Amino acid sequence: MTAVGPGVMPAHPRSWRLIAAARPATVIAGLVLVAAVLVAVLAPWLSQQNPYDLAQLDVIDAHLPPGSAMATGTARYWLGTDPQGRDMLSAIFYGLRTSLLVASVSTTVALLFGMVTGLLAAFARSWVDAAIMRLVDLQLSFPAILIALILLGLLGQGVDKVILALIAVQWAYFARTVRASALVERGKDYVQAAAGLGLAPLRIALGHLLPNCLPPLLVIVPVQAAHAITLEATLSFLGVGVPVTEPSLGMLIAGGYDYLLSGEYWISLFPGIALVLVIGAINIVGDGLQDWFHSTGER
Amino acid sequence: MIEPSSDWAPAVPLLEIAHLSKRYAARPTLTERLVATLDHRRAGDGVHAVSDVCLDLERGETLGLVGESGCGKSTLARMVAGLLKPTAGEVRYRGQVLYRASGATARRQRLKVQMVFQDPMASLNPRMTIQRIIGEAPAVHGLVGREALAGYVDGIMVQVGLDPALAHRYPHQFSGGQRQRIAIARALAVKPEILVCDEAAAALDVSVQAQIINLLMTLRRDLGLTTLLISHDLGVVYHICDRTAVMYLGRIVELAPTETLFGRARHPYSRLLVAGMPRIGAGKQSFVGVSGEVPSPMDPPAGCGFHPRCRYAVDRCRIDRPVLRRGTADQWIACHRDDITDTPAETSVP
Repeated sequence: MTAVGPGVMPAHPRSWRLIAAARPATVIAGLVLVAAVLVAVLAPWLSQQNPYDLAQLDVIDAHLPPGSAMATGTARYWLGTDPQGRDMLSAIFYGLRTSLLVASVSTTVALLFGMVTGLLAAFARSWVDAAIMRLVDLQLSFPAILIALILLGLLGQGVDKVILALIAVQWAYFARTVRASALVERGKDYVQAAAGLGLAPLRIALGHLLPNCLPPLLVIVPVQAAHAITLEATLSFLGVGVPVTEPSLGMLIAGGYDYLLSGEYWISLFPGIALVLVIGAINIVGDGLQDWFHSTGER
Repeated sequence: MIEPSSDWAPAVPLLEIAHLSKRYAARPTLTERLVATLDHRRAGDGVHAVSDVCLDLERGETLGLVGESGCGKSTLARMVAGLLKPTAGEVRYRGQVLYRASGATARRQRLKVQMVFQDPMASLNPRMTIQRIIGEAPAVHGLVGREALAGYVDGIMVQVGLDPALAHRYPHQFSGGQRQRIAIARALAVKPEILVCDEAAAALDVSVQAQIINLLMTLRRDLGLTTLLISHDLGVVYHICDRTAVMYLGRIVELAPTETLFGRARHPYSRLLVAGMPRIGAGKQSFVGVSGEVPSPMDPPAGCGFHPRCRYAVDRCRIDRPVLRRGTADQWIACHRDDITDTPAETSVP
């Protein structure tokens, strides 16, 4: 119990105390993540050129190493240019946008879908449960990348198709986690008490059970988001992911792969660093979240 | 405070527990069946947690239910409160069968019976404020209007001895006794007539236990609540119950007014139970043990469930199961021997 008297609000809202109690690594990772999201959202205003607009590219500027001046002399390419004369820094900003969009949309939808199916499985038991969980088992027995590859082979390329494939790959993790914690929670007396109070099953499931199933879910959300970014990058690197016109970080890395041995390291290296930074940051923040949930225990 | 509705004939008890049974099916494994066949007996057909229990609760009465751990007290409580589906039998409220139908009307009908659980930490949703824990059900069932809800919840909190200023806190911010008060408040908020208390004080400190018991007694008096009080604390039962039922191995073995039961229990098991109760001022007491162990409810003995441990057992007890029948006046017992006259102390096994 906090040391405040009855009816007195705590001096700081909970979010501030959460940040103050976090480890430095978590705070730094959190800042990196916030910066990445800001860059992704503000990419059109932060970049000095639109890397997707061919009219803005100048072939004379192709293959320039980091720090070179533009042919027009107006600015510098801080991270060099690619074979089309595209500014790598701007390309990374836009690539981050695509990567984060794909990851956040697919993880959110997969989370919602997994939550519904998991709760349904835990509540319905019998054959509904069996059907859902065997599907989950079946899916989790294949490597995620394989399922995504097959789906994209069938669906074709496109940002929306990648998102669809990632949802199909991810929902099973969420469904299994929700079902497991819902099975534990539904045996507890507060769920029994809610039933005794004549509340409708749907209200008990969503209002009483679900909030208590969330902590383990919130821990795997960052893990799955990072996984989604990696998967998308891999798919794009393999050429089945996002189209060339909207390169993500993975596609940028793939684009520089051919020139890596020619000494033009910057085309692959910098998008690679950006990718590692984002994935690392998400994982560290996820770790911090997990610690926080464990330390606050059964609330 | 609670008026009987016009269509209710007073001859019908407020709550009838009719032939309630709960059996947990456990399919015997192949090995078990094999062993059973070699032993020339039938493999167990599951756990008989509660068998054919009949009890009536009159309006305003407090009925105690005692018995050792595992005798089926809690299973019975949960069936009475409609949280567990009985294998057989039914619960009737004013002659109407409860818990059978589904749907909104049936859900509202069940509010008349509410339960207070043993562990208040587990029975309160950790992610809800007290305001919501107490106020949700009355709001959902339309017992209170939206704008009157906060005042209604405050009123109930005061009634159970809680400060209404704490309504926006979470259960983990309260002590054990306060949490049990919240659980009681939640039950009272839907205006029940029958309260089922399953060891409601057992998980608390002794001093807090007394407070909770006193609160229950006050509420019973003020609201005219009918209570089914389940406890293994005979002292509590002795002090607050009008009638007491003794359970053994899923069956009621004796039912009598509390004074009668604690004064002159007649079933050998209740006699031992009462004799083992510690009393203040009784001087040095020699406790009488019950010899033997409780038989497994997976494989209850034939005849009377108590016969393997009963020193009065005769041949008939091993074959013929005694039914609960009226002995003298309001005393009901399930025993073939009505000729036992010695005091329980003499029954002790050397």
